[in-house]
Amino acid sequence: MKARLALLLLLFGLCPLLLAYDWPATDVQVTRTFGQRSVGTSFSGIEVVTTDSALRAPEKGDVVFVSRPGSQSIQNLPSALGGFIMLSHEDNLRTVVSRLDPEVAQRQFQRGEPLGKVTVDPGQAESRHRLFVFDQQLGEMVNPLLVYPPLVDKKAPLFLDVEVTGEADPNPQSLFGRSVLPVGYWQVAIDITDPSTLLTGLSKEKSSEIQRGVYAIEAYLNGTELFNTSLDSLFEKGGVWFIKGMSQPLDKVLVDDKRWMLGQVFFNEGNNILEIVVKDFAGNETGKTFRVRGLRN
Amino acid sequence: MGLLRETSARENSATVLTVVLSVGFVILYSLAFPRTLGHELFLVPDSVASLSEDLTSPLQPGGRFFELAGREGYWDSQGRLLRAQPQRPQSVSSGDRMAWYDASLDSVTVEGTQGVLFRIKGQKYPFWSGGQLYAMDENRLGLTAYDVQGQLLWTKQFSSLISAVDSAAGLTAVGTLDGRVQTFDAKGATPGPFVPGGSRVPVVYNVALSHDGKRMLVLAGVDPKRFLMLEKGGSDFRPIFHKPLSENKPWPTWLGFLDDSLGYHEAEGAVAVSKVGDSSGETILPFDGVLGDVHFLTDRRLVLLMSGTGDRHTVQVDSLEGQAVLRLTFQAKEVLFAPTAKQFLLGLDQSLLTLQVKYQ
Repeated sequence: MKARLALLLLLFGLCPLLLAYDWPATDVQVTRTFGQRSVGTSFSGIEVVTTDSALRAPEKGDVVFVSRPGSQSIQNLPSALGGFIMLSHEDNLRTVVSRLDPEVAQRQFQRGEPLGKVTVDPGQAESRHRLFVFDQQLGEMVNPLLVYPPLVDKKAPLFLDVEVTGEADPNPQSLFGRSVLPVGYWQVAIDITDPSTLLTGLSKEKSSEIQRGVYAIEAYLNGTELFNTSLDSLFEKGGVWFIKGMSQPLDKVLVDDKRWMLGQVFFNEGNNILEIVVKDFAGNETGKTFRVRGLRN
Repeated sequence: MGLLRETSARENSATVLTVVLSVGFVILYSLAFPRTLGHELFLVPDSVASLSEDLTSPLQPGGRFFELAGREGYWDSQGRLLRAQPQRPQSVSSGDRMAWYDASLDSVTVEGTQGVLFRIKGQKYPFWSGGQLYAMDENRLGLTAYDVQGQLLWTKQFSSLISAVDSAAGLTAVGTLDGRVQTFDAKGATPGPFVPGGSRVPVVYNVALSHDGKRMLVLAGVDPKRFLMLEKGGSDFRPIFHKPLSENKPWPTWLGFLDDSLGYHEAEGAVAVSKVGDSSGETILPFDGVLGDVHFLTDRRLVLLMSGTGDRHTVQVDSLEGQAVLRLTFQAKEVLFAPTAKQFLLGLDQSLLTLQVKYQ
C-alpha cells in the first residue's frame, strides 16, 4: 500500500516534467517574466538568455510562420523579435522562438530539432530571446513558464512600497510610514518586484542583479478578498489586454513598471487589517500585514 | 523560250495561290485567335550616381526618399540624387516622407523635404503602409496608427503576432498569426474579425486592400494555403472567391491590386494576375528566383516584376496578356526598383541608375 502511494506521489511529482515542453536551449535563464511591464510596455512572453549557438524545437510541431528580417519578402514588419519561428503543436498550443536565423526549408520539426542559429548582439557572450506561447483554441497568450520545465529560483518577491490614495487626500500615503488614516475610501497600490541573480559569461563567471515581474498577488481587507490574480494567461478584448479572470484591462491594473493597483477599500473607524501576499512563479512568496486605524475627522 | 514562258506561268499561279492561302490564313487566324500586338519598350540610360559618398543638397518636393544597402537618401522627380547618408535606425520611407528612430530623444522622427515634420515620443518601430504611418509594438502584438500630422488615430493590442498590415481609403487591414483578419477605420472602429477557413492550420500570411477600400485579398492557412478575395458589404468584408494554392511558403508572399479591377498573388515561381470577381482565368507571369517587387504602369497596362537570388537580379516587363516585353538582368545584392511611366529609377547596391523609358 505504501509502495503504491509512493509510486503515485512520484508520478504526480513527475507530471509537470513529463507534460512540459523542452526549453529551446540548455542553459536558459529568465530575465523578463510574463506580464512584466518595463519602459511602459507590458510583455506577454518571457525573455531568456543562453550561451547555446542554436535554438531547438520545444515540442514536435508544424511550422506556422517564419520571419526572416532583411529578406526581400513583403510585409517585413519591424520589431525587436528579429527572425522567429512559430510552431503549432498537437495540444493546440503554439510556441514562438525569436531572435534566430531560422531554418526555412522545413515544414515540421521534431522535439529537439534545431530551429536555427541564434542571433547574438555584438560583444555579448549570450544571446537574448523572447519566447511566446499562444493557446489557439482559447485565443489567449499563455505564460510560457506554465509550459516549459521549472527553473530554480530561491529569492522571494520584494515589497518596495504599499500606498493608499484617498478621495479627500490625493497625495499617496505609504502604509510603511503611516498607520492612522481618516475613515473613508482609499485606492490601494503596491510597488513590488522579484529580484534575481543573473549569471553571465560563457562559464557563468559574472553575476548581476535583475528585477523580474511577480506571478500572483492576493490581498484581503479584514478577511474579505480585495484582489486575487495570477498571471497565467492574457486575452484581448476590444483591442486591449486583460488578465484572465479580471474585468479591468491589464494597463489599469499594472499601471507602471512595478506598480499594481489593487482596487478601492473602505477603512472603517478602528482597526483595519490589510494583508497582501505576493508570489513568484517558483512559489516563493512574501506577505505583509498592515494595521490601519481609521479615525473620524 | 516557250518552255521558259510555260514555267513562268506555272510559277505565277503558284505565287497567287500562296498569297491567297497566306491572306486566308492571316484572316482566319485573326478571327479565330485574336491577340494583342506586343509592346515595344526601350530603356535609355540617363544618369548614374554613387550612393557611397555623403550628399546633402536642398531637397526638392515631388521626389522620394529611399533606403538601400545600409544607406538612405532622396531622389528628386528627375531621378537626381540629392541626399545620401548612412541609414539611420529603423529608417523607413514613403514617397517624400521618412521616419526613423532617434534613440537620443526616444522618439520616432518624421521628416519631409523641408526637414522635421513631427516627432512621436516612446515609439521605436515605425513603418508605412499605403502612405499611412504606423508604429509597431516591439513584439508585433500591438499597432498604433497616426495621421499625417503625427496625431494618434488609434492603438490596438492583439492576441497573436501581427503578420500583415495594409492600408487604403482610410481603412487598415491587419492579419494575425491566429488566422484572423481585422479591419479598422480611421477611428479604430472594427466590425469584428474575418476568419478564413478551409485549411488545417489557421494563419494569415498577407492582406491587401484595393485602392478604393472596397475589396480585400488574403493569403491564409496551411494545408492548404489559400487565396481569398473579399468584397465589402455594409461594414464588413465577405468572401466572393477563394482557391487553394500549391505554393506553401510559411511567410508573407506577394499579394496586391494592380488597380481596383486587377488583383495578383504570388504562385509557384510566378505571379498570377486575375480580374476581380472573375474566377474564369488568370494570367501567369513567370519569374526567376525570389520575387522582390511588383509594379503596374496603369496607362501602359504593363506589369513590372523585380526578382532574383544572390547577386543576380532581373527586372522584367510583361503585358497583362502574359507577353514578355523586356528582360533586364544585372548583378547586385540589394536592389531598389522605382518605376514610373517615363523613367525607371534603379538602385543597385551603391549605384543609382536612371533609365528613360521609350515606347514604340
